[in-house]
Formats: sequence, structure tokens, C-alpha cells
Amino acid sequence: MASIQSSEKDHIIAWLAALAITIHIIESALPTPLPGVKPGLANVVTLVALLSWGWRVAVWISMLRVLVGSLLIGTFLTPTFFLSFSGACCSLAGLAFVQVLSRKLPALAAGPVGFGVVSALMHMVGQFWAAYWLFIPHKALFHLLPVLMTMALIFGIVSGVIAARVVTNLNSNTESLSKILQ
Amino acid sequence: MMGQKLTAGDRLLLVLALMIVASLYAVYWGGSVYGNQAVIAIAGKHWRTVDLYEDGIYNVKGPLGVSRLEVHEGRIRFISSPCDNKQCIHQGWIQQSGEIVACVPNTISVRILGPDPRFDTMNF
Repeated sequence: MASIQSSEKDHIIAWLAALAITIHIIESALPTPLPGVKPGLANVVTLVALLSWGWRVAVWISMLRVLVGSLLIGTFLTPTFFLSFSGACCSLAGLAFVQVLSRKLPALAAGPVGFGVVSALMHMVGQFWAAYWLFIPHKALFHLLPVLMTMALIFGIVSGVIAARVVTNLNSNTESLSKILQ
Repeated sequence: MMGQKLTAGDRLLLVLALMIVASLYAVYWGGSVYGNQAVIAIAGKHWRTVDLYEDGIYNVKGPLGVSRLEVHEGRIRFISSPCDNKQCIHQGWIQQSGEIVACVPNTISVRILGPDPRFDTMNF
């Protein structure tokens, strides 16, 4: 019988994606004061993936979260799905941009908080763009943008701080981590 | 406890992010309100109230002839008018509540309706 070889990276992606999807679903059950405002804690997993294993792993986890998360909640191909999909795409583009800049200018390299803030703001931009162009093309929507971006900024800092702690703990527990992944 | 200090890049990104968010407040909460409807009047008399989110062309007949108004995605403008100086056409699009565009020779005026007009009066 032929079997598909899976690498250690595949296992990391599977584990982290499962974690991100779980957080995504729990968060979707939380009541929100404003549509589009969520703590975005699932983004912590994407940030950890980016900081520890690189951008490609982060893309996998982010996309799997949006796809599988929406399938499980039942929002696949609904407005909610397109909002989170375009948010995730913009967020990943922002992360890639910051990572490239960090490599080019090591003196100004971003840390977890910087990545967290860019990722959260870009996520909101993507989501807002989709909401405006696809669903509510009314200029009054822009009055919400300052509040939405403020929330994104706060949650971006929070998720960056959490991601920083997770990465530090991961680094000091590399052995137990590789055991889990086997 | 943060476990890790902020890098120079983090600080730069935070400052940039704060500036962007602050400027969003300035731009979008700076008192301008986009209107939904516009009132078209001929010689000071109400002619029609139009929905700014229903694109279309309106032919408005004044004393000099027909002025054409265009509504497109929340904005309205004069596209032609039988006046001499074409001031109304040069003013271009209007979209904020309280904004006015008028063809004085043809006595046609357009005012954007809104809950809280941005301008009390306008002079040209």
C-alpha cells in the first residue's frame, strides 16, 4: 500500500492549524458589540508559526483556519467567510512585507508585537475592504473605520505580547515539543 | 510580564500604527457626513428629492433650458447646463450633507440632505 510521506513540518502545520481552528470557533461563539470586532486570538497561532517556523507555515495555518473554521461553523462561502478570507490574505501580505523589511534592515527588525500590530491592522483593512466593496458600498461605513482600527490596534498588541511569551516558552521546551510532533 | 523587550522595529511600527489610527479619526470623524439624498429645486421651489445611491441622469428644465444632473455612487453633479460660465459644471461632484451646487442663471439648485449639515451657508 502506498503511503504519503509526511514531514515534521506537516505535523507542525496540522497541530497548529487544529489549535487555531479551535480558538477561531470558540471566538465565533463570543458575543461582539460591533460586527467585525473580535479579539482575534487565533492570530496568535499564526504569529507563533511565523516567528518559529517562517511565513509559509503561517500561510498554511491561516488558510486552513479560515477554510476549516468556516466549514465547521457553517459559514463557508457566506459573507462571514469572505470577510475573514480577505482579512487573512491582507494580514499575511502585511506579515510578509514586515518580514522582508526586517531582513533588509536588521537594525529595525520587528518583534512579536510589531508583527501582531501589522497583522491585526491589515486583517481589519482586508475585512473592511471586503465589507465595503462586496456588501455595503455606502460611504457612511467609513465612520466605523476609526473605531474598528483602534480595536484592531489594541488586540494586535495583546496578541503580539501573548505570541512573544509562547515563542519564549517554545524555545525552552524544544525537546518536549519534538516528542509531541513525532 | 512580557518576557521579551520591544525591538526598535516594534516601536517604529507602533508609532506608525498610532499615527494611522489617529489620522483615521481626523479624516472620518472630522465633521463630514455623507448624504443619502439630494433636493433639486427650480427657482427656489422644490422639484424633486433624489436618492444618491440610485445612479441616473436627471433632466431639469429651468428658464434657460434643460440642465442635466448625474447621480453616481452617492454623489451628484451638473454634466451640462445652458448657462454661459458653466460654474455649476466646474464645481464637480458634491456628496457631503449640506453641500450645495447651483446653476444660478438657470435657477437650479441641488442640496445634499443630511441629519447634521456641515455648512450653514456657502458663498462663491
